[in-house]
Amino acid sequence: MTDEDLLIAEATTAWRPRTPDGQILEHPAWADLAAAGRQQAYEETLVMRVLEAALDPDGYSTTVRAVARLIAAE
Amino acid sequence: LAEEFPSGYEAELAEWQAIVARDQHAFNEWHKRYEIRLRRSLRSFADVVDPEAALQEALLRMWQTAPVVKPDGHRAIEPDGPDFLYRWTVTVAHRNALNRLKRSAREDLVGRVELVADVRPRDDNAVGGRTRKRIGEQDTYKERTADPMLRERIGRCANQLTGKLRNALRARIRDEGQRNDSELAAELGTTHDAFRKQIGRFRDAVEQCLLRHGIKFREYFA
Repeated sequence: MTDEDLLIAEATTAWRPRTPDGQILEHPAWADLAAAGRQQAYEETLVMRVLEAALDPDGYSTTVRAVARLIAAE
Repeated sequence: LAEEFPSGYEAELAEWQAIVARDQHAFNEWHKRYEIRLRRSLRSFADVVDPEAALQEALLRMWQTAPVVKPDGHRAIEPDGPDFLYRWTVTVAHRNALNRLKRSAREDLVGRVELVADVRPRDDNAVGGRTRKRIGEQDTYKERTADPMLRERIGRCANQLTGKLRNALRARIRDEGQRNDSELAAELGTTHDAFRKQIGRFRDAVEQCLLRHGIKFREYFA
């Protein structure tokens, strides 16, 4: 895998850095990608979310879980 | 993926009322059904704004403001037809993406993406459209992503892989987006690079397995 492939794989996570006031920031790996890599990361993220949902007992992707956590923490 | 969808507009209104009543399970179920469509709506922004960050913030905003949804003289924030919560959330997500772009150093791209945000949703009846002629297309999409056989086949393909290949994605699923890959890799006793490679190889292996069973996985999102 190339360095770009690694960045793309990393950018597919639902984790995002947050500021103390709750703003959700871009992923550092996404920021390091050029435009074509970002488009690819977008496509790969679509795939990953469906895979995650298929493997989750409730059918939730990690984005559903991450947002649910944000709401619960409010 | 295997859940039943609300059968119509009345069911959607009931779902909205549950969300307004702060029923987080109802919100999660709604999010689950619409996630891929919402994500697809951000495709035009994907090279200038991090879609995951914009989407998560829009969903959080949707939850926070659902109780005050009312006609606002603009568009979308009206329970005026099928998928109104979806259309509203797309509007919020696009505004969020535009704001992110304006805050970034890429002011030169704002005009281009504003055009996309303003025109594209209306073109596909995603935001503010009063017609329902595309409901059939949306239902077809829903049926595809709701396919329980696809979910079962993905599970079978994943189970055929070695534990090492599955570990990274399982760690992400368990963690629910709370920690980055570097932290998860350390917890698994592996390197950051190895963790990222496992994510990519897992995805490739499952896709190849699905293809062997005649499933062109990416066509589900085309």
